[in-house]
Amino acid sequence: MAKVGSATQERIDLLLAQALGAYEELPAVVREIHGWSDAERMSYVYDWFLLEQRVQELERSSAKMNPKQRRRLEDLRDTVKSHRDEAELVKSLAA
Amino acid sequence: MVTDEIIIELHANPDREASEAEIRAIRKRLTGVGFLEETRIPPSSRGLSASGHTLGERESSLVHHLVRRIVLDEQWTDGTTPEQYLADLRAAVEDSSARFGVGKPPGNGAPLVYVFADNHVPQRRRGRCAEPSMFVLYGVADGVIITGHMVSGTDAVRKADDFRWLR
Repeated sequence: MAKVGSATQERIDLLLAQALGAYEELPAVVREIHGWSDAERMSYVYDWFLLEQRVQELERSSAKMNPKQRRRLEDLRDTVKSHRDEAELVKSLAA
Repeated sequence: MVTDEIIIELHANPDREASEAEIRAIRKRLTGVGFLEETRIPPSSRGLSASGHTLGERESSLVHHLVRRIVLDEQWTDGTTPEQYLADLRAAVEDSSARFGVGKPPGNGAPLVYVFADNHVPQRRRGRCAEPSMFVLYGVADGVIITGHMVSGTDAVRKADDFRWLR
């Protein structure tokens, strides 16, 4: 599990940016992922589980975020919510 | 290739336990393969940089995974080379604690081998978020390691619905 309990502000910025980017590109991934090789598809899926762990840890780190980071976390929450179905589809590929 | 056929056969016969010789063959197979030579890098991961590698549009899957494990997951330390990372995964497969399972998600052309082992990565290469166990996933369809990272335990990894331990 990714632990950002003692993460630096710089690391929080990195994880917020990477997670937001990953969710925003998710619809495009879902459109094409069935055409990928098994190895590329499963690699993406298992990286997605790690991403979700990092998002959970970001939530746990919210108290130490500055105002700008909190706004980005709000953006991330909205993005997670709006792409929930695509994320569930990706995770189902491992089952 | 013969070992991949054994894996397929074991997956197709869920009541059959793998023999010690078959587990040895699987270990040998998994320690002899690498990652995909080239893979697409998601836009959100491009530009991530560690151990002298910066991710572009396409990279070797080994480098892709190493950079993610260092930068995003903080499981390995910056400076770990691709060769050292791969050696750490292979050491896990060879470790006496390694447990092997098999399963096939429906969309896959062939089974996956799931390996869990104690984490013996040297302290100097362990990142801030190192975990007690190692996980390596091998795909028969492409004959490559799909991913490898540290985990808290076997329950922390999503497995195929038809997953089973081989021994």
